[in-house]
Amino acid sequence: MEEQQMMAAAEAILFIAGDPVPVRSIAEVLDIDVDTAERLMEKIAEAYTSQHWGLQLIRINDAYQLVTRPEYGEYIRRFTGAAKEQSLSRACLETLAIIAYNQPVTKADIEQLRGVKCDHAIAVLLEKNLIREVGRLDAPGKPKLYGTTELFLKSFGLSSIDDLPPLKPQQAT
Amino acid sequence: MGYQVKLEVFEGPLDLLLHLISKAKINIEDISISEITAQYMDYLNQMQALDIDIASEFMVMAATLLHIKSCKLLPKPAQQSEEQEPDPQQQLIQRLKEYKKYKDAGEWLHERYMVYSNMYSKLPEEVVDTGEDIKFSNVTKQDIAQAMMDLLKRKNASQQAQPVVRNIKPETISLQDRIRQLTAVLVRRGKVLFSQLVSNKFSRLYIIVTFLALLEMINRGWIKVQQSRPFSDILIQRKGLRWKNNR
Repeated sequence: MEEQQMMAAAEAILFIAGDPVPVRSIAEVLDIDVDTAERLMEKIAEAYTSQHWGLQLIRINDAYQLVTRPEYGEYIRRFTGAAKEQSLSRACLETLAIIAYNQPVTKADIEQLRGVKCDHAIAVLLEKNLIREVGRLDAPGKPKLYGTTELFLKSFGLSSIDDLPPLKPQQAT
Repeated sequence: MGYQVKLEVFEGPLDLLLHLISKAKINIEDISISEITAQYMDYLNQMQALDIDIASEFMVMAATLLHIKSCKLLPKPAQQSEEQEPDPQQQLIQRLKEYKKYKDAGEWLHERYMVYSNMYSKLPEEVVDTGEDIKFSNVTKQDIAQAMMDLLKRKNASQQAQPVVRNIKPETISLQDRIRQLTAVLVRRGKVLFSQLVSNKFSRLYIIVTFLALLEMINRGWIKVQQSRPFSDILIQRKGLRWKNNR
């Protein structure tokens, strides 16, 4: 198959899948190696970007997903009548930041850093599927450990957790 | 937990302290404990005057501040080897700096969220196995019309046959049985639409039990449900299934 055809086939698969499609699945289906599949996906992503259509291809960990461009979210909401996703509260954002940078992390660690109880924030983040329990710490009481989810990466436009900017050391306020 | 009333929005004692520090336009390292303590206590008093419950964390911090302040006022005792505790003021400054890092990171996340929550994706397409498809090749327009006529005839017949006296049997589907059935369906198929689990031929009670069963299963963390918009069909998926497996 020529490259153009493979790109078209991959695009069709991405459309049907909806969810993020692992690069290796694409490679398997097209019978090519993973590196080639990855180059292919990057080419598709580039094509979407350069042609200014309403869709774009984003990368999440080792998978690609076809999503709409953020600029047109307002029109999608007008069409579907859906309400705008509510922003997260500051408590949730701080808690999420601590989990994202320190995962896996216990509630006690988070509370120590923030100086306040975090039960509610953690409950909200769990419900929104931005964090999940990733295990238990081998310490008295076996406290739960929390980590971020794939939805977290997607919701914040990150390809992987390494995409988070380094924490700024504090000098002036 | 009750509801929270906020004078100004502070996420806790550290947040309040940072606010006081930035209002004084000083670096975290340069805080004057006695000044900051006075302002901090002012704020707590305001809250008290407004009859707002003060979270215990704020009280703990107040105690910490007063402790640091009193340590400074008292002459230092002769150094004892076991009293090699770190300076509480330095500890507090360290905590404030740590907290500030994550507060900033939270703000960064907020900005990203505002952009990326504007992206939408679609649900996976359900590609039906055509092997089980009903063949429509021999069906004509007349057949469809005939089917409709039959239906109307039956409906008329049943209406004429009234008054209908029949016993209404109490239905006996337990929630547990329904959960068991649904689990079996999901183990087999991985995912299913709500509309496929209930249809008009089922009684209202049956549909309600089905719905309750799903709620219970969500609660137990067995399944994941998605609905693209209000009133649309609900996609029910077994949890822990990766995309690859339910292809």
